[in-house]
Amino acid sequence: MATIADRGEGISQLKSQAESPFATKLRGSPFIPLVVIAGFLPLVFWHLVELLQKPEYQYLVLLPLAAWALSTIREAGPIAPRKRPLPAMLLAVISCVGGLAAAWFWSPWLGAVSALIAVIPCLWWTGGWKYVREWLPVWVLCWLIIRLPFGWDQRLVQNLRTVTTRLASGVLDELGILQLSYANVIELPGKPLFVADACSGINSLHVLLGAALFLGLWFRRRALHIVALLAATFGIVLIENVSRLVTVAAGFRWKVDLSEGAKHATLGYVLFAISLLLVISTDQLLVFLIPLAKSKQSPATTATSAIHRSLGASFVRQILGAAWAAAAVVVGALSVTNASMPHQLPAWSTFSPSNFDMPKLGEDFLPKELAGFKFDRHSEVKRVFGDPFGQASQQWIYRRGEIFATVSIDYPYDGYHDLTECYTAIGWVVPEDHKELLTVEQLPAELTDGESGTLAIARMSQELFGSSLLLFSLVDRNGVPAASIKSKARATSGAETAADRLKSFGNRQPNAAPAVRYGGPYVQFQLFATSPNELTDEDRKRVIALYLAARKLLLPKGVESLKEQSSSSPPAPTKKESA
Amino acid sequence: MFRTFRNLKRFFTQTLPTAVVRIVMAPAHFGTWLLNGVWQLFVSWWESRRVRHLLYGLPALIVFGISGYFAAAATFRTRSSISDRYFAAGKRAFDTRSYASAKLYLERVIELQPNDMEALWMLQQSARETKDNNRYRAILARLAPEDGRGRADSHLELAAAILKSPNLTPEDVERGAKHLKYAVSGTSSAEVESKARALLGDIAVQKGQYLTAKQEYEKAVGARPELALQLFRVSRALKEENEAARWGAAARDFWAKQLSQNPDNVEYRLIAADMYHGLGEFEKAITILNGGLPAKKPEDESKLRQFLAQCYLHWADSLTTDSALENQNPRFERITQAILIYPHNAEVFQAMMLLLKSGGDVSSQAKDFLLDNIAKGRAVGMSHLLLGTQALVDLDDAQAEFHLKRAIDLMPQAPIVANNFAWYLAFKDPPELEQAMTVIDPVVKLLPNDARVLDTRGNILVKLKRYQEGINDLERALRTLKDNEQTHAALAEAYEGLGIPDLAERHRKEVERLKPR
Repeated sequence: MATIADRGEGISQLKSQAESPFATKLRGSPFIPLVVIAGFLPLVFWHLVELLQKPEYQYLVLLPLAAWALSTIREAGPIAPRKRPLPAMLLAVISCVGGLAAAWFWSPWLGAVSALIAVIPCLWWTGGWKYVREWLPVWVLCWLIIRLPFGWDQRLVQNLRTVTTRLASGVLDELGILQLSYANVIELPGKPLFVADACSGINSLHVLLGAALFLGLWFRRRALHIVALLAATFGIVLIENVSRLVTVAAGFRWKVDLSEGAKHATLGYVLFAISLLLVISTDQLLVFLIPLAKSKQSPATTATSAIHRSLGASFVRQILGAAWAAAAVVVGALSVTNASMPHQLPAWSTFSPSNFDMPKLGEDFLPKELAGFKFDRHSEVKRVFGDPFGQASQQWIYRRGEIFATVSIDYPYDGYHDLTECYTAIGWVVPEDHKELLTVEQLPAELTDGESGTLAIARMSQELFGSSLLLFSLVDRNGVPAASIKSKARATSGAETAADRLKSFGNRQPNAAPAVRYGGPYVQFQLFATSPNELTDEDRKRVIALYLAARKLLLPKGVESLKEQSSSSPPAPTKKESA
Repeated sequence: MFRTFRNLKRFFTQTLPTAVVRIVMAPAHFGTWLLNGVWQLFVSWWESRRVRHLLYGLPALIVFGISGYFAAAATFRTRSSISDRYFAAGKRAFDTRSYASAKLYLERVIELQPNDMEALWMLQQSARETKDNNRYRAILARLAPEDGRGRADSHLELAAAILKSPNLTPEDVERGAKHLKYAVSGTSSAEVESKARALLGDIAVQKGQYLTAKQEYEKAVGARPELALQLFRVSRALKEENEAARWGAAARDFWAKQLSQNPDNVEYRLIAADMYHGLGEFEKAITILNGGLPAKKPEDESKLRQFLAQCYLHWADSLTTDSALENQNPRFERITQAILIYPHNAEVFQAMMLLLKSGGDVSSQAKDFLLDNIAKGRAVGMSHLLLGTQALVDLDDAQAEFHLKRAIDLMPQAPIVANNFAWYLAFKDPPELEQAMTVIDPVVKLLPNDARVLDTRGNILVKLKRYQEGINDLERALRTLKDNEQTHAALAEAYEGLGIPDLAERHRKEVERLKPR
C-alpha cells in the first residue's frame, strides 16, 4: 500500500522550489480569482442549502475536511508560466455564461456547476496548468456536491429500489425463503417489506461513492483504477442492500424482527461498516490487478524562459482579467438581486429527519356514513422511517356497493410527494393521461362545499386487482392543501417559465411550483378506492365527494397538530414572490 | 535442362515440403507464440504484484464471488422450477386453510406462470376466504370471462353470485344463465354440472318455462336427489300427475331420510316441512316443524315458529271461506294457533282482522279470544293491536286509543303498531297530526318501501296541508295499493289543494268506483 511517507520527501522538495521568490513572480494576481469565486458564492450557497436538506447528501458536511486532507498531500510542483491560455479562457467563458444563466433562471445547481468550472481558470490564473494539476484531486472531489441533473437522481433511487428488490427476491428464492416481490415490495407471509429510500441504498451509495473517490484520490490511483473502484462500489452498495433485505427476511424465519426499530438501524450501520471495509478491500484488489502509475514530476527548468512571455502579455492579461472579474461580479449581483432567490434561510428542522407525530384520532373521528359511503373499519399503520407511504397512517375504510374506499391521513413528509409513484412501485398501472392535477374550483360546485387548494387524482388498474381511483393532497402548517404529480409539475413548470421569461423581461413573475419542494413537515390526505369493475364517472364523483368531505373533517386536526409540533420553530421558508 | 530438372527436384523435395510444413505448422507456431507471450506477460505482471494486496483484497474477492454465484444461480434457474416450488407451498397452505400464506405463494406462481389456471383458482378461493372481495371478483372475472368459456366451476360460482343479487334484473338472469351454460358445457365434474343444471332449472321456473326446468332438473337429479322436490313441483305445474306422484314420493323419502340422519338440522326440517306444505299436507308439515321445537338457537326457533304460523295460516286459507259458523270455526282455530305461535306476523294480523270484520259469532268469538289472551298473558301486545285496530274501524275512539297505546307500549319496535297508532292519531277527533308524524316518521325510515306506512304518512301529510310531500308518499304507495279508496281520496284532496283539479277529479272518480255498492 502506498503511504504518505513514500511521497513525503518528493513533495517537500517540490514545495521548496515552488515557494522560492523567483517562482512567486510567475503567479498571477490572486485578486481576480477571488472576485470570480465570490461572484459564484450566492448560487453555490443556495445549492448547498437545497442539497443538505436531502438526507443522502448530508454526508457532504465532511467534504471540507476531506478536501483539506487532500490539499495537504498535494504534489506541489514548481510554478510554471501560464501557457496555453485558450482552454482556460474557454472554461472561463463557459463558467461565466453558465453563471449568468443560473442567476437569471435561478438554478443554483447550474451555478454550482459553473463555479466548479470557473475554479480551473482561476487555478490556471494563479499558477498555470501545473497548479491546476496540483489541485486537481481536490477539484475532482468537490464534484461530489453536484447531484445528477434532470431528476436522474430520483430515477436512480427508483431503479435502485427495483433492482434491489429483484435481486433480493432471487437470492431469497435460492435460499428457499418463499416470498412475493412486486415492484418495490417484498412480501413475506404476514409481513410486507417496502423497499424505502433508505433501504434502496441511496444514502449508502452517495457516502460510499464519496469515500471511494476520496480513497482513490488520496492514494493517487490511476483514472482507470478510480473508475473501476467507483463501479465496484456501486456493486457493493447493491450487495449491501440485498444483504439487508435478505437478513430481514431470514430473520422472520427465526422469529427475529429486524424490519424496524433499533435492530433495523443497527443492522444498517453494521452493513454500512462492512461495505466501507469492502471498498477498501476492493481498492487493494484493484492495486493487485492494475499496476500503479508512477507520478510524473515535471522539471522546473522551463520556468525561466517563460518569464519574458508572461511579462510581455501582462497588459492584455490585465484587461481580460478585469473583464472576467466584472462578469463574475454581474453573476453575483444578479444572484443576490434575483426575485426568485429565497429571502429567508430554511428552518433548522428541515435539515434533520422530521419526528412529527399526530394524536390517534380513533375510529369515531369520522362519521359512520359519509357522502353516501358506509364506514366499514378503522386501522392504524406504523411503517419504517423513509417509507414512501408515510411512517404512520390512520385509516378509515368506507364501502359503497363494490367500492371500498380507504380514507387515510399519512405523515410525516418532508415535501410535496407524488403518491402515484408509490402505487406504481407496488404494481398499479397509472397511465400518464389518467393523472390529473386539479384545483378544487375546477370540480363541480356541489362536490366542493367551500373547499380550496389543489388535488391530485389518478385512475389506476392492476390485473387481478381491478380498478382504483387515488386522490391525494398534502398540507403544511399554513393549512392550504396542495398536491404534486411530478410529470405534470415538470410540464407546467417548464411551459410557464419559458413564457414568463419572454413576457416579463425586467418585470419578473413568480416561478411555477417546483416538482419537489423540501421543508415540512407535511401531512398527506389520501383516498384509495378500489372496485373489481371499471369505476364509472358517477363513481368518480361519489369518491371525490367522499374525499373532500373526509378531508374537510381531517384537515383542521392535521394543521393543528403541525402547528403544535412546530410552535417552537420558525415558519417554513418562502419565496420572495409569495411573501 | 539438367539444371532445370535439378531445380525442380529441389523444389519438390525440399522447398515445397518445407513450405507445406511451415503452412501446416503456422497456426501451431502462432498459438505457441501467443501462449508464450501471454505467459510472459502474466509472469511479468505476477512478478510485479505484491501478495499483501491480494490478501487485503481477499474479502472483496470472496464477496464478489458469492454474489456472482447467486447471480448465476438466479439467472440459470428456470421459471418453472421456481414456480413449482411456490405452487407446492401454495397448495399446502391452501389445503391447511392458511389462506393468507396461500395467497402470497400463489400470487408468485401467477407472476411466474400467468396462465396457471389451477393456481389462479386457488388464489381466487383464498381471496374469498380472506374477505378480499374486490380481488376475488377481479380474479373470478378472469377465470369466468363474459365472452367465452373459462373454468367451469368459476362460471358456476359467478352465476350463483349474480343470481343471489338482491336487485336482480332480467339482464342479470340472462347473464347468470349464460355462465351456467358455459359451466355445463365445459365440465366433466358431475357435481358442477348438476349444480349448474339445478340453477338453470330454477331460472326456467322463474320464467314459467316448466318443461325446460323439468329437463334440467331431471339431468341433475341423479347427482342431487334433493331436486326431486323441485321436479315434483314442476310436474304439478305441468299437470303431469303421475310424474308428480313419483317425484313427490322420491322427495319425501329423501328428506325423511335426511331428517332422520340429522334431526338437529333446522334447514332440513324446514325443507321437509315445506315439501308437505307444498303438497297441502299441513298436519304433517306442522308435525315435522313441532318436532324441532324448542330449537337450540333463538334464530332457529324463530324460523320454525314463523313457518309454523305460515302453515297454520295457509291451512286456514285452504278451508272454505263460507261464512257459516261451522265452516268459520276451523279457520278461526288455525288462525288463533298461528297468532299464539308467532304473533309478529303481518299475514296473521290481516287474517285475524278479516275474522274480526266478518261479524256475527265468529267475530265475537275472535274478540273473546283476544280478550282471553290479554287476561291470560298470551300474545298480549298483538291482541291489543288487533282490538285497537278493530275499534278504529268501528270508530270507537276511546277503545282504539286505549288498545293501541297499550300495543305500542308493549311492542314499541313493531312497525305495524306504530302505523296503526299514527293512523288513529291522525283520524281521531280532534286529530293530533304532529304527534302522528312523530310516530310514523321512524317507521318510514325503517321500511322506506312499505306501501302501508307510506300511505299512512301520505294521508297525515295531506291533512297537514303539505300536499307535495303527501303526493310523493301516496303515489309511491299507490303502486301497491291501487284499489285503496282512502289513498285515492287523499290524493284527490292533495291535488285539489295544489290547484290541479283535473287530477283531483280523476282520483275522485276512482274513489266512486271503489266504493262498495
